[in-house]
Amino acid sequence: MPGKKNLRMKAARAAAGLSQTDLAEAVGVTRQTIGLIEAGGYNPTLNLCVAICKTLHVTLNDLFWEDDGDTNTNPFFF
Amino acid sequence: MKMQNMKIVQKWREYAGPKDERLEAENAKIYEFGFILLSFGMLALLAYEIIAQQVAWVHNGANNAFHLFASPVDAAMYAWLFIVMLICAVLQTRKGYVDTNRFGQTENLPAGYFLLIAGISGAASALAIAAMRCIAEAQIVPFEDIFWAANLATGVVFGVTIFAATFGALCLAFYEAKHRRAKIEAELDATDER
Repeated sequence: MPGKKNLRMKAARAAAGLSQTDLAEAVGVTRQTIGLIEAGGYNPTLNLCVAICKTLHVTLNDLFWEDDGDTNTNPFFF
Repeated sequence: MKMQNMKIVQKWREYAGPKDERLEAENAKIYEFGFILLSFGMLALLAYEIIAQQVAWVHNGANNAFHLFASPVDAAMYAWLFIVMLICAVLQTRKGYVDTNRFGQTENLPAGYFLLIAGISGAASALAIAAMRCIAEAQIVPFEDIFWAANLATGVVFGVTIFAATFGALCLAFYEAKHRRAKIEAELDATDER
């Protein structure tokens, strides 16, 4: 897996009471894509990030912005 | 009328559902790999076919007329390959780039990079052509009658030609891409000012 796990997205999805399949259907992708984003195996486009955030009622910062102290250079994973 | 505005296309999209961007990206990679395998494989087969016929023609005393292709269908197939490769190159330059790395959209001609690419292409072609000629000869004459040095020389001549042609094509693509890029940027500036 090229990126780090996106645990915040997983937590936000669980908090919204959605399964990976539910979220995938809501944003128009496959379940595997959601699974890979959460596992750090796929870097989504901004459009998909926004669609996920809108569905989970969170902001881009909540899910995809890295903290200053994070050494990962990929802005979409932390 | 744009294709995406056509009713039948809209109906199909409603039926098929939205496209998964990850699958599209994966698909693009697979098709890219397939295109490289298909096109370069066909080019290698074409080169071997021509070389084998030319070698046979030479060893038969060059008495009969030399035919480049076995049949018109063969010629059409390879012409189609070249057309498709040309279309891909033209579409790339129309989008304003020649490569996807840091040399793809430079302001000045990346001569060193182009020379390296052309050099690798030329050297690989020289070796491949020399090897193909030796293999083709080995099919029709005893091992000791193979023109090793002549085959190597032929490979080198073609290698140098391919080197020059590749470098020229890359330079041409670079200037065309740069021209197109300037046009795209001018259009973007015009849209921005509105």
